[in-house]
Amino acid sequence: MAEVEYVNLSINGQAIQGRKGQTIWQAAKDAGIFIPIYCYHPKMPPLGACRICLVEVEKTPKPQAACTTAIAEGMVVRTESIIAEKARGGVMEFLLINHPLDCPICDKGGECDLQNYAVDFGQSTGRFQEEKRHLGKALELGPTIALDRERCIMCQRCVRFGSEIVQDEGLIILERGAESEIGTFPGKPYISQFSGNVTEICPVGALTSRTYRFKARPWELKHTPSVCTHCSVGCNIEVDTRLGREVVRFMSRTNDAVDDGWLCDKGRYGYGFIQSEQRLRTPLIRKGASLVPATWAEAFDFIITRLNEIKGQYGSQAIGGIAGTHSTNEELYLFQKLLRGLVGTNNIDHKHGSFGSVPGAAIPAIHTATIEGLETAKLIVLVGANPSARQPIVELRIKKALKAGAKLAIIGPSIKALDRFAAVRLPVALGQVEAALHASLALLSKNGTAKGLQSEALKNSLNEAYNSYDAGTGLSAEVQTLVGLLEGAERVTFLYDELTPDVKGNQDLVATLARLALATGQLGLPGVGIGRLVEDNNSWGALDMGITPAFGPGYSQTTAGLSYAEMLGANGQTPLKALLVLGANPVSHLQELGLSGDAITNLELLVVQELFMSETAERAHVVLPSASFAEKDGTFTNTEGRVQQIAAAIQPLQGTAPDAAILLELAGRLGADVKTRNSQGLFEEIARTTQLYKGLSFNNLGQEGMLRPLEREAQAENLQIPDWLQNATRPQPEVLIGTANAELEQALEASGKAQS
Amino acid sequence: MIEKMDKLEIRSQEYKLSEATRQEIVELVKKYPSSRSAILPALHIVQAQFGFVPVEPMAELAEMLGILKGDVEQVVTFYRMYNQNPVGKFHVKICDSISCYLRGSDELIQHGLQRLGTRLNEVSGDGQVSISKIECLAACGAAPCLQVNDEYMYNVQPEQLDEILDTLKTAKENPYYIP
Amino acid sequence: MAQQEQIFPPPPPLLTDKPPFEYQLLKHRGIPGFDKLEVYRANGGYKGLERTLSMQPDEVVAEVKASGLRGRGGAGFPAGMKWSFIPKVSGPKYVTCNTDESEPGTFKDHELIENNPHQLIEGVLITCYAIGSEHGFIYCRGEFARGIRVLKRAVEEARAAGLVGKNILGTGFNCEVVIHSGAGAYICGEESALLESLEGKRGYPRLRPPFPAVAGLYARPTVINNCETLSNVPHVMREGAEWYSKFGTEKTKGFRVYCLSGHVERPGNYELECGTTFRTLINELGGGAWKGRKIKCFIPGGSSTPILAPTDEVMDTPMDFEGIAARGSMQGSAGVVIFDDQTCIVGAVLRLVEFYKEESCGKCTPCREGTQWLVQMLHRLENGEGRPGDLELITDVGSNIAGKSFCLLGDSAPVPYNSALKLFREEFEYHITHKTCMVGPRAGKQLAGVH
Repeated sequence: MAEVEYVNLSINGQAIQGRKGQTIWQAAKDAGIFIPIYCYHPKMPPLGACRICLVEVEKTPKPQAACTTAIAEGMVVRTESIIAEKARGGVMEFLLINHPLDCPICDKGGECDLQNYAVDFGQSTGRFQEEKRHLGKALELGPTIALDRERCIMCQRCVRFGSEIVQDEGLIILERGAESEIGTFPGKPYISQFSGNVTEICPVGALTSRTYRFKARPWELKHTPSVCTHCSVGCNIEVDTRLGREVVRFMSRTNDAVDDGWLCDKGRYGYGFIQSEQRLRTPLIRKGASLVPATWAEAFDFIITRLNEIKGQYGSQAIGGIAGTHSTNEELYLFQKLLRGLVGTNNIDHKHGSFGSVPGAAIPAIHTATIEGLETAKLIVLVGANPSARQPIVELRIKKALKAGAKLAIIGPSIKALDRFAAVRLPVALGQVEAALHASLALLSKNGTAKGLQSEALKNSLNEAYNSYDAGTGLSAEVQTLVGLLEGAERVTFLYDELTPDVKGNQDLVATLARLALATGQLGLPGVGIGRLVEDNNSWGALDMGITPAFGPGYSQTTAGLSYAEMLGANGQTPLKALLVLGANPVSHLQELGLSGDAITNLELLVVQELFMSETAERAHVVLPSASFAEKDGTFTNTEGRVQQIAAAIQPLQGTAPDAAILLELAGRLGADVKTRNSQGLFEEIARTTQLYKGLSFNNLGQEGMLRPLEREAQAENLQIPDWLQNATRPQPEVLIGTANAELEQALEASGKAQS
Repeated sequence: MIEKMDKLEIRSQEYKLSEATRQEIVELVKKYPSSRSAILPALHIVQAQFGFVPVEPMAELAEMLGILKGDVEQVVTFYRMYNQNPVGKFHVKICDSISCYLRGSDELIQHGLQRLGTRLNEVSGDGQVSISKIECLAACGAAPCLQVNDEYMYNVQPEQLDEILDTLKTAKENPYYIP
Repeated sequence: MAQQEQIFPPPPPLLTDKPPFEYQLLKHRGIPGFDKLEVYRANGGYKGLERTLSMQPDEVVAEVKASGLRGRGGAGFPAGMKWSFIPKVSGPKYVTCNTDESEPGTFKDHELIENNPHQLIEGVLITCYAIGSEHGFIYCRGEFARGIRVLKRAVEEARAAGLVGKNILGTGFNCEVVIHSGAGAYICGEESALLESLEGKRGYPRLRPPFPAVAGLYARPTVINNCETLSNVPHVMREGAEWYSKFGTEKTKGFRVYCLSGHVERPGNYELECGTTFRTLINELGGGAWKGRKIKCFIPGGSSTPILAPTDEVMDTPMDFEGIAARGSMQGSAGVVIFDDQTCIVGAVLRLVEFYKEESCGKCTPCREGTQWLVQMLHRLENGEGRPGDLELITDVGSNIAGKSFCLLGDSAPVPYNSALKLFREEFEYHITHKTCMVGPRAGKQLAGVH
């Protein structure tokens, strides 16, 4: 660990010890001394523009900005002296002279830094008796954001969010001096998938969310810590409910390890579904062609009766369960426990990407990359992954790493937001991603200098597999560049998308990638190495809890059962008579899997637990209305294997129930002796019974979650190459074809054939 | 309740960079270690073609320099020499900083506007001339001074201004251009 | 005179057949066609560069240091010392010449580049050699359209003669000189804002540290010097530090171009030895106040410097950094602006402060908001709408800008008012009590409600 150098200084007479390199503001904050700021934001470089943080520093002729001035040994700082108060009070006055008296109609009122610091540091009367500046108000800046230019204090946070964090087209400053104002490129509205963040970082009510306009006052809000469910990143959010009854907005709840304080718009503004009119509000039982409302008791009776009948008539192998990837770990654990333990079937699965030849037990161990770990990587390789589209906050973290000097390589189709940052691109179609990895391995093996190849065993193994691999001249220059970067980088993160191995041509993508990570000495390195960008907020949970026929909770051994596709009729069979569906929609995937749907028609009992009337629910015999994530507690495991808690922000909507409660009721009626009824207890059971979640509890998950503790396999140092990596077959050479060919596109455009 | 953003009609009409302009910019960019540095002189070249800086060329320029469109707009609106809207074919900029002020720039400006029959910054009916104020032109020893489209005129008294305005009424090229 | 022999901007008339100081920087005034390479060379041009190339870079820095040459842009920092701050690291280094002359009252660089471009180019080349740079940028304000044309032609002339580009004068020294145009922003004369502008961004000043010598243009070690400063360098290197340091005063060596403007008989650029008195410049050479009037007050070094009253003590003060500082003002950019006794000082102060409000970049709160507040109050004061308490309020608002802003532009904005108030408080108070000017063409007239 690097030595921390301390600096001794005094603030307001108090002896403080700061760390070398800190600013006065940071040292003061650590010591609990508050200095107001506007333009400074902890995630952006200091600016020193607003001047509200001016403090007196002995032996300097002018007050200094605390957010930009580094602390020095023996420095004497005063934040409450006459000099400091005059400086700060002067700035406060300047900010208010042109500020409109909008508080009564401004959404920010009650959580506004200008209000707060004016009360703390300003005067109670104004001396400005001139003409105030008049600018546009209530402007539609874009689909999500409203701009009030008069309220703006020109802190530049919104503009720098665009230039420092997103590093793409965003908000800009127009004009100069006292006429400065915020705007966009002429004629172009502010459209960005990160737009909502500016409303949080804006200290005043200049930038506000259009969806939240006039909806509530901050003092009416109850704030509940939770986790976003729109993608697998699991950004930490705060669910704000008005008077505890209605969800009115999501706000960020900075988790430096996951979201770094940012949210994407899909997540931030995606709360409408919770209170949607379309929510199922009563159990439904099929009577003939239609589903009619029933009571919970009637629904449970029906299910249990039919289940027992079917089990008796056809055996437990005729019963199966398909879960979704949005349910909590506790619910998924219960689901498989009910099916395996009480019903006696191993036909359990969920829709997920294939792992190829990687055995279940190795799955968690080979995925060690974390989101925060991206900042420690010198090279980031996207392998058939598009985080910009599917895990947006990961895109921001990648950009943060690139800004600090890391390099980016993209293998796969074009990614609009990231292409121009890439040091090298292998622009192949998704189906050739694995072939690109093979080409890279072949060259690595030939060069023989990569870190992992110091092991003779691995060197020989690779040599044997690739010594006659010749992929011709397809993208050979790019492959060479990529391999050069791989050989030179101390730490590498490889991110692949969960669905890419399912694309024809990538049948053993994960194993091949593991080989590549092994060869470059990155396999199993905490924080970097391989990362799987999974589909949904609890895709990992579904695997971890054993919602597969191949393994049980914690990737433990289990008896084999039918897979997802088999349960739905692959291999021409329709083997099930009863199917329990938890928060999944398999009917919507039949076409994609090339299945007829006979397996569904053949069912005598289809039970669906759902929020909305989905395609699968429409075919069900019993539909049970679930509560959304905002109405229950539990845990999710995000794409990096971080287990995070959610808490109920509102009561379940009338008529709905949390899935865990439904499953526990079913379990009880099936004869189980139900001891634990709450999520905390269920989680404790999971931690007790699986090695994977050992030691975790709601207590130590706390507000920021924890990575699940992993056992390391195949570390680069003591190289025992696992069999499944050793025995991979020799790959067939494949000529890489660059699909996103810049010259070709230009030529097409020049000849007028391309659409602009 | 919420209003649309200000419409910019003039700036948004069809304007395309000419081949000559593009070539000039390409040559210009070669001089700098970073292409972004070329933006200020490049915008002068664009303004030389149109008399002001329309919106489409800004997007084209952004692409040529490999920078964001927003960065071009930020620069155009920061620096006062770039006209965001059309001005007269001959833009007369009269200095009114302290030295010119002391030697009668206020009167000169009023005189010019009266003679031209326009308000400040307004373009004359025939599109030939507009008069604006400008801050210190660094010719204080020859005050009052003005520029006609970036070409200096020194020691301009109201009579000289009359001559200038009369000449510009029918001029095709800038008569005060000295290479 | 033929067009190409005219000097722009027009110089003041000579009183005798010889100039008051033998032309060094303004040699073009005696010799037509000085913007041409062969004329420049025939008059000692590029001899400084030749001598430089025969020396070690460190020796060149030492020579410039020894000469005592101080910056001519306003701050007066010793040039050689600035150059010595450049670290000895590998990788590109840059020289940028600040020709963004925009300080009201200043117009020396304008004359230098339009008429004597090679002098500046030679200075830039020497400086590049001294610090190990292969790239010199001459950042000219965009309004200097002709000056930029003249400089560009001169660079191409020099290139054709092997003085710019690869292997200069066969010594293996490579140096490119780029003539860059700004686009109308006084703030870009501030050195860190100039670097931002040169990088293609809005001209906001930068945080320091890091300082330009360590991380300047493109985050590389950079020297920034004013146009006139670099125009002195060929003379220093041609004749030597000892020769140069014979001119001037103890702490302000050499010669410089003083810019005289405002209510004088003979305004214009005057090249004089550093330390010449105000009396010599303003009265002897400049002819004193015009139209037979008296001098009310004057600005000694560009509008950011405190106004001075024309007392004997002041008039006999040598115009150098220390002398003017002793009188409570600054040498600044040597822009001397004369106000005659018919000038309403309130109107003049309004005009001066309006400049800062117009040119404020808007980055920091005190300058952005404070200057427009100052202007609004001064405007009322000048136009018969002053209120009791205004003077104290303006002073206090000014004190919340000065020393609190991000850069010196904000610090300078209250200066004209503060210094004028000290000298002419009675006139300011008159505006409040009488609602009209005390002196000048609007004195006694009804002003409120007329504007």
